[in-house]
Amino acid sequence: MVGKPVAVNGEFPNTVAASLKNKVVCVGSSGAKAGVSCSSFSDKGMGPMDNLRPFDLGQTTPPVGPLNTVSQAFFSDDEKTLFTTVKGDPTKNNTGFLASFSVCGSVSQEGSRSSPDGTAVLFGSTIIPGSTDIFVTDASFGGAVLSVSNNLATVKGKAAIDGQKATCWATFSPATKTAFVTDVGTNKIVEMSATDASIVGQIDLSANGDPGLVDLKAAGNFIYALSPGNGTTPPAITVVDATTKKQVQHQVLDGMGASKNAQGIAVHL
Amino acid sequence: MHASLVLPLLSIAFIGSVSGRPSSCGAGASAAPKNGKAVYIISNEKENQVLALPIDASGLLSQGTCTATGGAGSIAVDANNQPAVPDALVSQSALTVAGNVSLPPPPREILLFSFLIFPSFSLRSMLDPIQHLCSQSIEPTRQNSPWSENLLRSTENSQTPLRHH
Repeated sequence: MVGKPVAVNGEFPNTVAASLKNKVVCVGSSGAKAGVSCSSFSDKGMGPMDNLRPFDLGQTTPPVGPLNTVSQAFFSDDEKTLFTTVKGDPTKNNTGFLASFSVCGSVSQEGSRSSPDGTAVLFGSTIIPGSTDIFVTDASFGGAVLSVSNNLATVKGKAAIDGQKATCWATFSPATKTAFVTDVGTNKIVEMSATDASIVGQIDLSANGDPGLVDLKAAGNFIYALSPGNGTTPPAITVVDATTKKQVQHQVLDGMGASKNAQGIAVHL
Repeated sequence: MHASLVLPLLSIAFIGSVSGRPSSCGAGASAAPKNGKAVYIISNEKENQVLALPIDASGLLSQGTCTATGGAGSIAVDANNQPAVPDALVSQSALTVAGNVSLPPPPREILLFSFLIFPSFSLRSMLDPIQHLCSQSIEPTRQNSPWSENLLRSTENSQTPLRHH
């Protein structure tokens, strides 16, 4: 442990982003006190978290999810913007949004919000390296590429995934320059264009017996995707070769203290 | 539902430090993407742990280590007030790596640090009655762990109740 843990200004913190360039870490919270709070970090540890940038979600702690909660905090490629995706609730005509906060040494307390046309339940996202575009999943249909200018996002392209239940997690593969997305209700990884979100291909993983996949991360030629299982099927990480589109490993996490509560995933490059 | 609200915390840990040289600018721009060194997830159990699995040269995982965060996990609920699992945190990026920090730049020889940052916070309602612990058989691999040895536990008590429902 580096330094001591610091208290988070918010309830039910569920997503974290770090900017090396700015030495800033930000945490999104989804409970009764929802929003984003940030702190500095160094090799000595973290400083105190700053004031919450609130999101008026009207949530409880723990939140009633997954709709109407914070999805992900992440920094832009140039680390000059902190983004946070927030899910709406289409059943209550409550629109989700992408929040943007400028970063100049510290993270601005005042942000902008956009609700790109046709999006509703913005979930996991990935920056597209070398661009100002971002790739987002939307649990209500599939994925989209958003173009971001002056902290406001518009849809550059989007695609619906047939038979999807909740497409919620995304990663960008440096090997294929495409995005890969997962669905907690189906055991496959869908490859989508990082230019317009059109579907490139689908990798069916049903043979390994997992019920579905959550968070995933690409590194090198590979993609590491977590299945928390369902209490009967144990949690596992499936390793897929992004270039051959084949599963190369199914590492079961039994005996490691993980269950269907497991969440992730981070890769040390 | 019997729930207790506890202080949400955020923790940071070193996951490696190696001596290296800064790479020359412009060179190797078209090099094949580099494999990762390790993947991390959080167990998000009542006794929350970070699981670290090393990545070998061919990109494959091997049995890793688990390290208690000192905090507890969290679980959202569904419309019927039942634990919303899987996807207990309804989020992406429940933990993150801030890697290869050079401190201080720009010397010829730099020390590369990587940080793992994760919530060790927490609110926890409805616990999974079966709590698994990191098995003994995993412990001997710790010497090969991608973790550095000084991060093994939090000293902070994150269990202080703030209020009860």
